[in-house]
Amino acid sequence: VNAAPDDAQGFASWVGPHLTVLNAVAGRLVSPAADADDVVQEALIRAWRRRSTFDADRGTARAWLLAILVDRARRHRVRGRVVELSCGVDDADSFARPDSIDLGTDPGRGIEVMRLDVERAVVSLPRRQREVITLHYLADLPVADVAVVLGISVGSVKSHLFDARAALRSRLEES
Amino acid sequence: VNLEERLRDWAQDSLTRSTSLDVPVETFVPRSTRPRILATGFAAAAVLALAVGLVVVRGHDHTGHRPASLGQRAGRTLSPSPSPTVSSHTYPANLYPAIAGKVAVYVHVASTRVVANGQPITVEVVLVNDLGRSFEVTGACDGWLDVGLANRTIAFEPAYADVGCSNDTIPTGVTTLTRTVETTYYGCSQDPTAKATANFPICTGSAHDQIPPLPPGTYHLALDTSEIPHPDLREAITITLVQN
Repeated sequence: VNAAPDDAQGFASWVGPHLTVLNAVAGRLVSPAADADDVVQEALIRAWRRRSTFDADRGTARAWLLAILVDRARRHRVRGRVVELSCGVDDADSFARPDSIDLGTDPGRGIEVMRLDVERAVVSLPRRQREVITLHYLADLPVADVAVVLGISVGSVKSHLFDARAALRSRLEES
Repeated sequence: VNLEERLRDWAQDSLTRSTSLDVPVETFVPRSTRPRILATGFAAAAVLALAVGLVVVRGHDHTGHRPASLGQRAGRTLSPSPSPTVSSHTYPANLYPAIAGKVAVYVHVASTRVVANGQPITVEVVLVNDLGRSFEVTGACDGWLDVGLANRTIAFEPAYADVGCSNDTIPTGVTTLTRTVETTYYGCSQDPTAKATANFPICTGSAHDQIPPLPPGTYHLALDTSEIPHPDLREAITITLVQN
């Protein structure tokens, strides 16, 4: 499909497979969750309004939708409606960390703690690194698509990925 | 730390936990002549209707509360702005002087400033970039600087700048853009029993799918200059709408 569907139901079906990823990415770029929902919704409105501009030759539907989403998240931050998550550990602490879980009694809960450690580490990254990590791992975009979504070079994406991994590795070793 | 593995696990788990948006029971009826998103009750184009309904209601919910149910969000109409294009027309430099360190924004109304309501107006927006550098705008391929009408009772609600399309660079010096200004409301309610507000009247037409023209009166041109660094709007332009 080279163009986004022009009929409403077709368009809704077209974006449907990407909603989970859009929600998940938005949740890592803006906080609180209600604002992340708003960002997704605003992104979908824009996507619908500008559906005629989608060109499959220039990228996948997912990349196009994520580009819109990332832009909306950026505008949210610019408007000051959302607290930047990257300004320090205190922000990351807003994501619950169940320190009191007894790892010895339930292996599944130990996995949960590990997931939250990763979550905390990711959301405490500087904005650009967080965007790159989220798009590459959560949205499963190849580096080239991440570059398109963020409007930066492939080299920059690789650089941010390198720095982000180093920071994550350090933070996870500390935790 | 096996970072790659943990990140993959985190991603997989996050996606599993991520909830999709609610799916409301609503319908979209895009218009062919002037694309619009119509949200009424009963059908299934879902997510977008939710999004549209939410944004519209939020824009007019002066209490600041989010609507409690989809029913409150439904029955609204939005009208995106037309697609502007870059004009090849140029003006003498002395007609639109530069403002030091800013992007001066001038609007040239090509035709009369007294217009029958409902009839679109063509304007030219002249940007004089004296930042000493170029700047980038998003969505330049399909318009990024929306122009509309507003007054004390009608708010300017610009259609959104395009994104995910391509960026463009506004160079130093003069750039001229052509925009079409609609003289209808930005949207309307398709529910005849809904309470009309200043910005959202009840839609007209037998199918309740026509956006009414703005009421006769005096308006000013409003621009969404959010993409412009250090904008300096040089002139307030008044438009008078008369009964069509």
